[in-house]
Amino acid sequence: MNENTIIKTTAKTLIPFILLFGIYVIINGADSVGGGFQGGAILASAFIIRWIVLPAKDIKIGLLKAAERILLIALVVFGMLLLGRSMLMPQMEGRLWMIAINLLIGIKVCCGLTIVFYRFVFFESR
Amino acid sequence: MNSKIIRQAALFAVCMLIAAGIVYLYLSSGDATTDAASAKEYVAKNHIYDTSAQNAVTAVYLNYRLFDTIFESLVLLISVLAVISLSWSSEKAEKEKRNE
Repeated sequence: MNENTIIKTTAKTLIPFILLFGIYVIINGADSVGGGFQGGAILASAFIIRWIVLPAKDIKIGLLKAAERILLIALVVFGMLLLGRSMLMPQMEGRLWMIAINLLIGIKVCCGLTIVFYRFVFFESR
Repeated sequence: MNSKIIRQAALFAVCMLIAAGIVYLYLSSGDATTDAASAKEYVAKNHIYDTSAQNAVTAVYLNYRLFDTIFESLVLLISVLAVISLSWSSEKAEKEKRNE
């Protein structure tokens, strides 16, 4: 039983709570402190903890890159829907729109920070 | 070679259409008149009525200044692309440099 077992067990117990806390901070951006950017950074820390515990190169960076670009286009188009709120979507609640935009921003920030961290770590030995 | 140029031209046309749509929607919204002395007073008084957000910071960055948020996300994407392109290296070039 080497010393890695304690860290692995702790990380396995903690990661669901970290993800839950990140989503909580994102969704409660309209009422209390938080929002999209802060929650995205908290979500990215879950991926960082996974690398520290188990350094295995089995993550698909191409998928994260494609997801980030698609999320940016979705953010621009969805933000455009607000300017014409009276024209295009008259029934959408203000609160629901803010939660949706915060979720888009949060997942986009998480993808970006994860990509930066893994690019630095993949070329660590050079 | 021709199909690549056609694909890039189609993508360019789609992006230009989206930009034109955003400009049209922005110009067709009316003007707002107010009697507050500064923007701070206006936001502090009306941010619950205009947007249904209790947090004033959220009301500013998601409603009053939405364009800044969109461009901030774009800057984040550009910085990620810069990190990816500047940290690229190929193993063959490294080995040749070491063998010299």
